[in-house]
Parts: sequence; C-alpha cells; structure tokens
Amino acid sequence: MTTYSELPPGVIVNQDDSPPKPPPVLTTGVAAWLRENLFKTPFDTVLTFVSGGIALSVIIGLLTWAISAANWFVITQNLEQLMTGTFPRDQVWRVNLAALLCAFVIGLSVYAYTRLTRGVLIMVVGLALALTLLPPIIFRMTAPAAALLAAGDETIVSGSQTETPQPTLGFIGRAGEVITIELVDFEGRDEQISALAGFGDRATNALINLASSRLTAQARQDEIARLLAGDLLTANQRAALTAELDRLTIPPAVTGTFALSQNPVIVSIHNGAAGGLLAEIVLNEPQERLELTLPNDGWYVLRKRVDGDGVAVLRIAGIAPILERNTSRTTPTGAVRVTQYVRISDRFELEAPRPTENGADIPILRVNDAQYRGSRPLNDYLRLFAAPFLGQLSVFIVPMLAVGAAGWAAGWGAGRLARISARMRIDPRRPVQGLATWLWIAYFFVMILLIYGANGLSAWTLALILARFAWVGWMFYAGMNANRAFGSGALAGVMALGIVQAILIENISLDMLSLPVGSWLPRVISAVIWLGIGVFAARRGANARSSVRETAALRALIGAGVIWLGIIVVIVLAFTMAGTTENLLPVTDTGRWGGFLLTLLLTVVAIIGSFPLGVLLALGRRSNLPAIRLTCIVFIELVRGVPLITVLFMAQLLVPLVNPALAEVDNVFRAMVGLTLFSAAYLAENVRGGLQSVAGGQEEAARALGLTGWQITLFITLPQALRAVIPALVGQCIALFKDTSLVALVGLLDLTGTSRSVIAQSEFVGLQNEIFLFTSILYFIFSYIMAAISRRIEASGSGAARREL
Amino acid sequence: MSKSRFSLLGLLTDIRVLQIIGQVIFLILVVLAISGLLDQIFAALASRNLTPNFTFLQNRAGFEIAGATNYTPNDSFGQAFLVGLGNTLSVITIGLILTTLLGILVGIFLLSRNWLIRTISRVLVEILRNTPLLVQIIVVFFFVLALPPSNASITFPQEGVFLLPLRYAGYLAVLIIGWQITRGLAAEDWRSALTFPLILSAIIRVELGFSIGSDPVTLEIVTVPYLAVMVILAGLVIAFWRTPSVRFALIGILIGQGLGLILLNTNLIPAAAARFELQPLFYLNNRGFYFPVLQATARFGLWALFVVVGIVIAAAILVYFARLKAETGKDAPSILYAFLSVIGFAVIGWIIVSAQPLPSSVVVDVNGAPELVPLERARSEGLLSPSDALLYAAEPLSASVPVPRGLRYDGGGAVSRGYVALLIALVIYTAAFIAEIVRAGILAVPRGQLEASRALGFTASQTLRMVILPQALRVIIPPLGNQYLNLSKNSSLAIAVAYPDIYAVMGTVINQSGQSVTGIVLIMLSYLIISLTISAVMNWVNRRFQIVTR
Repeated sequence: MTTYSELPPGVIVNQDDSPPKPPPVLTTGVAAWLRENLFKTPFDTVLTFVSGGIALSVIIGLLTWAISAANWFVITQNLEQLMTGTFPRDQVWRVNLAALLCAFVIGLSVYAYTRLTRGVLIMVVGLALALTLLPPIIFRMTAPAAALLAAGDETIVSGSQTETPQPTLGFIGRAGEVITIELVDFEGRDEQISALAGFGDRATNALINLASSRLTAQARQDEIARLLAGDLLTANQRAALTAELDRLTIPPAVTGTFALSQNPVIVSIHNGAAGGLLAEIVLNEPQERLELTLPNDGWYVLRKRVDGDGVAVLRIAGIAPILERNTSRTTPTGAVRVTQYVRISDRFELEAPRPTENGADIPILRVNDAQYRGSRPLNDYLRLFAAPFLGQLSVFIVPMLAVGAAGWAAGWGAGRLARISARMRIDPRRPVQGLATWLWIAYFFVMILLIYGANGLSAWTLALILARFAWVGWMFYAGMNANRAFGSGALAGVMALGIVQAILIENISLDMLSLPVGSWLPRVISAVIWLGIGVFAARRGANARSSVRETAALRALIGAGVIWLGIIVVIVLAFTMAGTTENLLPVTDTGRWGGFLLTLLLTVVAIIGSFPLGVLLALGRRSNLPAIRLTCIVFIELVRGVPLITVLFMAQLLVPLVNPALAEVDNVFRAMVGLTLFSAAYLAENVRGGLQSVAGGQEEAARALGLTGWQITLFITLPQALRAVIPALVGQCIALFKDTSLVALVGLLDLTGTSRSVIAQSEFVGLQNEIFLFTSILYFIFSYIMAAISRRIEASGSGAARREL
Repeated sequence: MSKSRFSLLGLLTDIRVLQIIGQVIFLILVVLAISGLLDQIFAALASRNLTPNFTFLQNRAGFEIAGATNYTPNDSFGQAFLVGLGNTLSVITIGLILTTLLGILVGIFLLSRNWLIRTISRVLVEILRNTPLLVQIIVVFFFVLALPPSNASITFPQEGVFLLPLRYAGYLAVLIIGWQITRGLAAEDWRSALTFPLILSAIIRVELGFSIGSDPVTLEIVTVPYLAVMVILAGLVIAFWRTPSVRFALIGILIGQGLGLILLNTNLIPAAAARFELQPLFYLNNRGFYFPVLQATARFGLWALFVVVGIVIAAAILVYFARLKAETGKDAPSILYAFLSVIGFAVIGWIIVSAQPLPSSVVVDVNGAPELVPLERARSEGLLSPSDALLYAAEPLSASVPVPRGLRYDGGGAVSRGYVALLIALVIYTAAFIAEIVRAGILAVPRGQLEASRALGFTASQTLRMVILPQALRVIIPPLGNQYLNLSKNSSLAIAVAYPDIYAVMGTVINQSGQSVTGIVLIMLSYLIISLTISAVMNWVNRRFQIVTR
C-alpha cells in the first residue's frame, strides 16, 4: 500500500476527495436493464406484471395442451398429404428432386450473397445432428405408450353406448419388440379410472366415460350445494340451480358395479398366421406381468378372459391402434388394390392379411375406436409424436441441408475456378452471383419440367440434352482461357477439339438411341444448331474480360476438361443404371397436385407470370399514348377494386363459357391465370411507384446521349425503378403466397384446402386446432423468411430509401 | 415560299401520326378481343337458353338466407342481392371502426417503453401478418363454434349478486389523503417515501384478512409464513439502512402490516357491503352474439328536433367565438359552451318530451280479439306488440335488452356466429397491419420536433395534438386507406364461415338462375363502388391533412 509520505515530491494529494465508489447496483447490468425496460414507473410495473402473467399463462396453457391433450397423429399420419397432396406416390421422387435442386441453388446463393457466420453454421449442424440423433435416442429412452384393453363378459352401458369387452384382438408387431401385459389396479376408486392414460378400447372407454360422468355429477352436486348455501344468488339462479340439483342423480361406483380387476385374468398371445401359442399367464395380482419378445414381423392374436364375474382392465405396452388404409398400386400386371395396416404409434406398415377365426376377421384396435384417453404424460408425448415427427422431418431436412452444403461448396469452387489466379483482386463471390442468377432462372424451368413432366422424355434424350449443355459451358470456359493465355491459335485448337467432342456426343447418342433410318435430317439440323451455339459461346468466352497467367490458365483448362469428362461419365452411368425407362417424366395429372406443393407452385408461377405483365402494365400506365394508358388504367383499377376471390371465381365460371375447349383445362391452371392477372395489377402499381422515383434527369441525360425510347426504358429507367421497389415487390410476394390459400374456396386442395379435407376424415375429425396450428406455422416460416430477406435487401442499401409500409 | 407540300411519305414517317395509327390499331385489337370474348360467352349462354339480363332479379329467389330478418325465400333475387349487400356493408363499417381503434392501440404498444409489452405485441403482429387471413378466419370460426352452448352463454355482466364492500370507500379516502400529503414533496423526503408503501401494505393486509380470514384453518396456516415475511422485511430494513428511500419504503410496509393487523383484530373495518343484483346485457355463445340496442320510439322525432336546435346553437357559438378571437384575440372556452348547449337542449328536450301525456287505454290483441285495456296493465302484462310498445313509450329512446327464451333471445340485437368470426378475424388481421403503419408514422416524426416542443414548454397533450399527430397522420393516412380497401375486399372471405355476404349470396343466385355474367358484373360493380367510395373519402381526408401542414 502506498502511503502519502512515499509519493514523489511535487505531487499534490487532495485529501478531501472521497475514495471512488462503485456505481450503485441498480444502475448497472441486468438490474439497470430491468429497471429501464420493465419497471420504470409504477404504471410500467403494473403493465409488466399483467402482460407477463397473461403471456406466461398462455404459453404454459399452450404447452400443456400440446403435450398432454393435443392429438398430433393428424399431422404425423397425413404429413405426405399435407406436403404433396395426392401426387402419385411413385412419382414423388420428382418433387423431392426439385426440392433438393432448390437446396443446391440456395446453398450456392448463400455463398454468393452472404457471409456464413459461426452462429448460422452451428445452427445448421446442430439442426442436422438433432434431427438425426433425437428420434433414436427418444425411442431408446422412453417406454411404449400403453393400450388399455378390457376383458370379461359383462355388458357395459354408458349413456347410449353398450359395449362388451372383446375376447380376442389382432395386433401387429415387429421382431424383437417386447409386449408387456399387466393388470390395472383400481384400489376400488373411480378416480383411478378417470385418471387412466392410454389407448383404450371401446369397452375401456365406456368404463372411463361412466366413471368420469359420475365424478362430474358428484362435483356439480357439491358445487350447487355450496352455491345454494351462500347468499350471492338471484332468485332466478336459485330456482334454476335447485331444479338442476333435483335432476342430478349419482350412479353407484363403477369399480363396485363391474368388480373391476378383482378376479384372475387369463391372457395368451398366439401367432397370427401360424396360430401357435406363444405365451400364456394367469394374472392374479397387479404386480404380476407377462413379458414376451416377438419372434418376427407380422400379425399376433391376443386372447383374454376373466376367470369369474366382472371386468378387468389390462395395461399393455407394445400394442397400438391400427389405421387401415386401402391404396391402389400400379404393378406390371395392372393396378392392384392393397390393404395396408399402419400402426399409428410408429407408422410400422404391414400388408399381410388379417388373421381370421372361424371364417371371420379377428377384431383389431382401430384408430377410430381407440383414441388416446386421459392426460398424456411427457413420456407418451415424446414416444408417440415428437420422435416420429422428428424422424419424418429428418428424412426430408437432413438431405436438404447436405445438398445445400454441397451447393455452398460448389459456389466456393466456382468462385476459385473463375478467379483462376490468386493474384487477381476480384471478390470470388462476384462471378458466383452471376452464376446464381442464371441457376435460379434455369431452376424454375427445371422445376416446372420435373413436376409437370414431359411425355416421351427418355433417359437418353435427357442425357443428350445435359451433355450438350455441359459442352456449351466447356466451350465458353475453354475459349476464354485459351484465347487469353495462348492467343487465337489455341482458340482455334479448342474449337476443333470442341467440335470433335460434339461429334462424339452426337454419334454416341445416335448409337444409343438407334434412331430409325430417315430421321437424320432433323438430327443434323439440331447438331448444327448446337455446334453454332457452342462456337458462339467460345467466341463470347474469348471476348470476356480477364487477365490470366499462362500456367494458371493451363491448369484451369485441364481442370475444366476433367470436370467436363466427369459430367459426361456421370450422366451416362446414371442413366444406364436407371434402366431403359422410355418415359422418364410422365405428365402428372394437375388434379392430383395438392398440399404445400400446390401452394408453392401457385406462388412461383404467379410471381413469374405477373412480373413481365406487371412491368408492361406499369410502363403502359405511364405511356404518353392515351389509348394504351387508358386501357392499362382501366385494367389495373378494375382488378384492384375487386376481391381476389371474385377473380378466381370468374376464372372458374366464365372461362368454360369463353371456349368450351377451355373447360377441359385444369382448375389449377385457371387458378394460376387468375392469380397472375390479379398479382400483375398490384405489381404494376408498385413498379409505377419505382418509375416515379427515378429522377427526371436520368431520362433527359439518356436522351441527350442519343438513346432510343426502348433503350432508355430497358437500360436506364427500369433497372433503377425496380431496384427502388425491391422491398415492395417482396411484400407483394408474401401477400401472394398468403393469398394462394384462397384457391381452397374454389375447390383446389392447396395447404389450406388439404387441411380442411384432412379433418373431414372420420379418424381425424375435430382436430382442427392441431392441423391449423401446423399449417399456420408452415405459412409463417415461409412468409417470415421472405420478410427477413426483404429486410436484408433493404438494409444492404440495394433498394432506395423509399419508405414502404 | 416555304409552304410545305402535302406528302404521304412525310405523313407516314411522322412519329405523331404513327403513334395515333398505332393506338387506333391497339384499341381496335382490344375492342375486338373483348367483343370476341363476349360473343363467345353469349353464344355459350344462348346454347343453354340463357340471355344475360337484369330482369331476372325480379324472379322469385327460393332460397333461405340465414339471419336475414326481412327476407323470405318468396322474395326476389334483387332483394336477396340487397340483403347480401347490406351484410357486406355492415361487416365493413363495423370492421373499419374496430380495426382502426385496435390498430392504433397496438401501434402504441409497439412503441411502448416497456420491453415486455413491446415484444409481445411485436410477436403477435408478426404472427398475424405472416399467416393467411383465410386460415385465421377458419381458426377463429372453429373457436366460435367451440364457445359454450346457448344455455351456458358467456355473459356480461355475469348474472348474480355483486357485493361492493364499503371499506373500498375508506381505501379511496385514505389514498386521496396520502396523495395530498406527498403532493409537492421531493422524492427524497421521508414522508413521500413512506406514505404510499404504508397505505398499500395496510390495504393488502386487510384484504388478505378479509379474503382468507373467514376460514380459521387457513388463517392458522398463513400465520407462520406471514411472520416469516415480517422477519424478512425487518432484515431487509437493516440491509438497506444506508439507502434512505428503500429503508423508508420498507419501514412503511412494516408499519402498514402492523396497522392492518390491528385494524383487523379490533374489528374497526366494517364488513358491510352494498349488494347489486346484476342481469346480463350481452350474451356470447356458439350461435352468435346478442346485445342490447337503443330503439327510436314514436317521440324520437320531437326529441331529435331539440337536439338539432342545440347543435345549431352550438355551431353558432363556435362561429361567433372564432370570429371574436380573430378580431379581438380573446380566447374563450367555446368548445365547452357548444358542448353545454347540445347537452342542455338534449336534457331539456328529454324532460319535456317524456312529460307529454299518454293515452290512458290502448287497443291490444288479446287471444286474437282486439280489446281496450289500460296502458299500465297492457305494459305490465306484456300485451303490447313490439311496434305498439314503441308507439306508446314515454321516452324518445327505449333500450331493448335480449332475454333468453329457450334457444332464442327476445329483444335486443343479434349477429350470427359467422359474423362474429369474420369480424374478429378481419379486425385483428387488419389491425396488425394498421399497427405497423401507426408505428412507422409516429417514428417518422423527427425527434427534434419533440425536443423543440418540449423546449417551448408544450404539455404532453399539446405535443401530441399539435406536433406529433399532424405530421404522423400525413404519413399514416395513405397506407391506412389501402388497409381499409383491403379489409373491405377481404370481407368477401365470409363464404368460409357461411356468412351470407354479397359474394356468398350472389354465388347462390348464380347457381339458381344461371345468370353468371350478370351476377359477376353485379358483384364486381358492388365491390368497385365500395372501393371507390372508400378511396375517395380517404383521398379527401388525405388532402385536408396535407394542406394543414403546408
């Protein structure tokens, strides 16, 4: 410690200064934040507590409902339908491929336009890991949900419902699964019955209903007695409550009436197909249990009876309700109707026929009869819903993430390749950005082709087309490098090489397609056209600006050649292995497009279709030719003045009248046309706003430079105008995406329509909360992503500072 | 000499001429396309023996419209159309009012200094803005369907006896005294730090005693935790001894607890309470929403005359004082005078009109036969028909309250569940957008304006009225008009909840009559007129606000 006497001379110490104190606790850190943001004034404090309490109770209520009450089977069992509607199951790979290609392009765009932060990377990897690892972990950690099956001969009457326990029950199981059967102990109390949780069969449900109605009546009686004893009732209420009290009758205890679980139960499990006995036990006490490991996948039969009077309830782990699904499948011999049995707990499917006894089908536990009863514990929620749903998601999302990562890597590689020399000071992202734009344009055509299909497209045709595209790309690239590095002589060499390659491609294709004699002329013409395109690409490449060192160019050239060869080999191999499918992409029936697929398709087509139309309308509205201006104004204002639903309705109603031939056109196309026209009018107004924001001097300057009217519009006005209204255009896309839900009202099964049709099925009736929560989340995620992109673009300054609301 | 000669070539290469020719060709093409389309539509309709016309509107409709009061299936298509139009207009009008109020409220929440309020509103707004309206309407409709049935309606106020303890008056008095004591004191003064914690603590103690004190077992149980709380409080007093404000507040709480306990145990607080019997006015159940309405009786016209006179005088007062102010610069509370004039005339008119004599006996229908009975008896026995009740009422306005009769409600107004669901969904969806608009509008006012107004000594309300609102409204009104248009067009989604708006009704009309072209034209015209009206009004409002700020 320094004492004052040790201080060097000349230093003056002010002894009156108080020692420095730390700032008060309440003015720094978390306490300060809380004070500033939550408890600044007494009014603020009250607000915080009230709103916090409401928010907390809503969140807790929602979570409790989701875990213990909601029936998420409506999602897990219908996920495919919600995603792709009734799209033919054997063609769904096309949708998946389209999604994967989309992930690839997204990955590439992410490289081109953003910088991956560590947080995003951790999130993506974490998501993939969680999706892959969680389902098996949950399956290992949790016990299977219990089925509650009644045994005995007594008839249970509950209201209008009369049930007798089934003596036999068929169920499906997998090899290695353990079936555990034990007696439920009721301790002679009805409260124990209404506290049961599990899949009850009809007899058990009747017991539960009886018990809970008795308990409800008891509780109501007590409450009325309490109310009548007080003096806080009006005369009316008092009369009504007294009358209600007179009407209330309380039945005797259920446990006593049916001698519940009081006599021994004889339980046996048999093999469903062979009929052999696998295990048998007499259950006397609740502690006793039967455990059986199933030998193989297939049907089993459970027999149960009570030795004596009364009813017993068995708690069985390993049996779950079965969904019976009739589907038709196309086989080489024609369409076959198949009955599938799906175990609802883990979507285990079985096609073997049901076991029979004396010529009649043995009863099974159907989903309709055996809904989950009681308040669901967390274990059952995880086992029944969380793990299967995460499993379904991981099948879809993990490949998407992988392909997205591949796209990112491809973007990185393309950036390195385009830069050629590390000395070049260009950002490797720049060329990839151009590539991404072209890929997106190409992607939309490929997607439409994939999903709609093209008749007569064989594997070889496709391979040929892809090979030609690869060749043109190589010609461009090789031309660019050869010319820069070695001069025009090398360019000529590259061209000669390219022509030889092209001829090889054509020859291979001719051999493989074994075209009939006489059809050579169109082929020669097409070959010449392709050669022309390739040579043109090489010339364009040669003219492209870049300065290259020779060795680097040589390396790149060799690399490109290798890649080119690789592409050809992969294509040929892929399609040789794919077999000789002549019709690779048969045209799909648009009537079977549905679910989220249809929502996305409608959005994408309407956006792409309305963009040129909207720009034209906007230009027309600003034209100084009165006739054109007036027509555009009338169209825009007419469409903007009426609701979308009337436009869709008109497309459904009037189009068949315009031309009877159009009546054959699918509803989907009509909806697309309606959405496009509607969207174009709104887009036109947005673009007009952009056009107005372009300074008049720009146009005058362009005119002074001698540009023609079209040149001014295309190269001066429009680019600036569009850039200014990017946020508005994205907002328009979001609105369109949400508006596609309206096609559900004209009979299409988009995401909203499918949701409505799913809850009309008898198994899932009344589950609207679950399904619309899921649907809303899906809509929300996509809209929110679009909005986030819009905000990003706005923040990055690409758009002008125009305020958009 | 330079008289230009007519030249065909010159004419054809003149850009202006070319433009005109081009436009003419374009117009001809458009007309040809439209007429071709119409021709084909007419031909297709003719092949089904239909000619588009408007005379079919006089034909018998033959279908029910749920909830329509003065319409039967025997009425014409035209009347069905009017019912649909009326329903649409009703949704739009009520929806616009409610969504504006809610939107402004949420917009203010979005700007709240309170982090929790801000975040919750932000989350809600984002959820509403990013999910389709149709899904929201369907979800709300399912919620309305899940409301309790008619015999267990949600009511306001709840039927029953409501007790208002007399001690509340005492609380109010003590709070006012406390406010008087601390008024004008510095925050550091021990009296201002002590008073309110003391009062509130005592009130809480007394209320706790009253709410659980009736049950001796509970009182036993709470005593131990209560003592523990007191000990902790005492500990806190010692811990915060060096911070005077906290120390005094804690001491106040401690004294308050003791005081409350003394008051409770000496029975100084009266347990008496005022007793109110409440009857429900509003009913909400899975069939709809029922509410009281005000009805104009036969004497309403006379009373309205008084009110109109009051309004005219108020206007005269406003004009006079405005002129006086312009000439002399004297300020007078003219708005107060005008207000008093209107209220005064309304009250005097009410008294005079109600005092008019009524006929002593009236002719009523008793079991199918007309009979002359005294008015008092007719009224008390419910013999008067609803229209007669309005005719023989003493007051100019009579309130009609819904009274449950089985599944129906007598009197009052009613809206169907479809209407409730549609209105709720439309209002909250549009309010989310309006909230964002309001937020952006208020943020658009530069901060310097606020600081300047504060520097000039404006009060908070003056700042809001004279600085923020005029500038914010300039930004808010144009997009607000767009949202109003959206709401009016979105009302056509009523078909999802089976509410018979114009689109749903006309859908049925088109199905029944086959007049698709006319039907669609009628729908579109109706919506166009509604849209144009709204945008005209909003443009007018917008112009006014733009001029004011110039």
